Amino acid sequence: MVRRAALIGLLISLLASPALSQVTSATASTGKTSYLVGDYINYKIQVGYKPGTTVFPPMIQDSLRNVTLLKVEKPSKVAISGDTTITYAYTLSCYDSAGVTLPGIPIFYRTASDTTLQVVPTNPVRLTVSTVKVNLKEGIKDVNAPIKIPFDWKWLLIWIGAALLIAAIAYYLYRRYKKTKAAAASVKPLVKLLPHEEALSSLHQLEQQQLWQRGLVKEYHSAITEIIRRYFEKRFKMPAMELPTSEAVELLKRRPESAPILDLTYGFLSNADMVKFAKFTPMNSVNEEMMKQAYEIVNKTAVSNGRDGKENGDAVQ
Amino acid sequence: MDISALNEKIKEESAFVDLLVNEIGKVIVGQRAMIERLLIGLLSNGHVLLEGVPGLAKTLAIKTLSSAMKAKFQRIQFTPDLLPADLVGTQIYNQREGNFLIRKGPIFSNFILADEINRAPAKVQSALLEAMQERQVTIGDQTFKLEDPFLVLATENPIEQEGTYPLPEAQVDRFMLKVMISYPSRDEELKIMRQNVNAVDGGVQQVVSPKDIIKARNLVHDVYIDEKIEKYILDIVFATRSPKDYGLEKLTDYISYGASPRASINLALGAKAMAFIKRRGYVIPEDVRGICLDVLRHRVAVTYEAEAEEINSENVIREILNKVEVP
Repeated sequence: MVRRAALIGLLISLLASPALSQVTSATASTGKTSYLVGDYINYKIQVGYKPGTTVFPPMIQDSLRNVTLLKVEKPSKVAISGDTTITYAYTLSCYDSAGVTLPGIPIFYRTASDTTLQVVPTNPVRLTVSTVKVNLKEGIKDVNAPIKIPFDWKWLLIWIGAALLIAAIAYYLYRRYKKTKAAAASVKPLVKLLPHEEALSSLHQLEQQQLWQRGLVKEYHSAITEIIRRYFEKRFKMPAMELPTSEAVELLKRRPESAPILDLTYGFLSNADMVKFAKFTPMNSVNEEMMKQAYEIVNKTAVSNGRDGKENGDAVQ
Repeated sequence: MDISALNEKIKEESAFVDLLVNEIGKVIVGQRAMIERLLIGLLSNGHVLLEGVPGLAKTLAIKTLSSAMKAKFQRIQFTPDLLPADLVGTQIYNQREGNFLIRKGPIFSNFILADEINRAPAKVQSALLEAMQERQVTIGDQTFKLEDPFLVLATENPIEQEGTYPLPEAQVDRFMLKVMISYPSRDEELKIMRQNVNAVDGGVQQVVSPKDIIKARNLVHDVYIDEKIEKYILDIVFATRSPKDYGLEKLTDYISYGASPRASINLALGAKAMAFIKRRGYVIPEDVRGICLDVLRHRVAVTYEAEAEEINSENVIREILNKVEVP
């Protein structure tokens, strides 16, 4: 009876062993058994099986405790003397110092002659994860050294070129600025003439031109009235160049300081109008008198104080 | 002709202007500018478009002017049902003699008041404007010359525009002047009121004949206009066309189109007539500026942008006059 029972037990154990099944081996391993916190753990599962067997990839995610699955490699197959060995590789890591057991992972497979899903477990793997030993005597340092970027000559040349260009532009601008400054320094500052000074100077120039003496009577009268009108524009801030005689005199009436020259101005401009628009040929004495009147108009209304123009008062509208 | 001699002659010959103005002044109180513009139109052989609200003595002014000249006057009220034949005349069949007779219309007069010209349809307006331009009228196969002097005074009412036929720009351009009439001053209105209430009879005497006007027109042609003044006129007209060239960039967006060459012609003619009225034998810039608004206001069209900013052609012209230098 005892012998019979022992025979049955031996038969069962032989049938359950991988040697007798279609999957010949299912082993799990890591490179080493001691790791530091955060180290990569290369976890491999190798499954050997006979032809006609379909092995399903193991689902390790749900079986792992206290370790983190970082990466799943592509499985690789090797066939040796009819048997095939498939290797599943994973990168794991653990962030706590402890003794960790990677449990046996069930490997599911099916044979060609049988549709039943069969399973064979891998062996469990024990690991020890420990923290880095701190040397209190050493100073603080980086866990990892900074990454070294390979040196690129192309970028260096681009940067040097850009720097040279900027330097050239800056130099050009500096030279230009210096040149402009030098030119500005060489120009004499403009002396702003007062309206009467400008008018008197223009009248003097006109006198020198001797227009009427050369028969250019109309031009003389046009020029002399233009000088006076321009003087009125600046002195009384009125648009005398755009106004005919009557309207210009009307505007002048609004300025009390023009009172001494009102009649004189009206006569002066009207006489010039006769020459300019009515072919009137005045006697030489009239031409001379026009110049005298022009000087009188300017001198009687000249303002000598200040050069900022403020003394001229408000504009006449 | 020598300018001084011309000046003297014009001083003599233009004496009737004061007489005429005084005579009209017996009936018309104020409105001196309107009367002067009527005379300018008459002396320049142009026509006048008047714009003003009713009751500003437009009709009375032209009626008085014709009375003072003993000229024929007709008033035509333009209405939507008016026909060209009502204006120029028509052919009527004579049953007794079995032929067509010509019946001349009211246009055969020296002075025509085309009252509210924009109330008549385009065909009537163009019949009048054609007669104004050609100074002759064709009825059937016969052409008749119009009276000389021939002055058309057309009126437009600015406040009632519904159901009107506004004159196209090309036709408005045929009027030498467009005169805006404003209300009289307080003193003038008091005088008008008293004159009418007391039924003062301002009987107008004939002080000048149509022949005198024709003679005066020849003298107006002789009025001397210097090249400088001609250039000034051109500057003003060209500034309406290309304001940018005259430093008036801001007006570029406000002017839809500028004044036509008719504007230059009429500005020169008007300035000559103005000089004649002022009893001068030569034109001065004041004459040009004096007539400029009336000659240009209907010849310069403003854009929608200008209208939106309440800028009209008068504002534009004033801006130009303030910018263009006088010679």
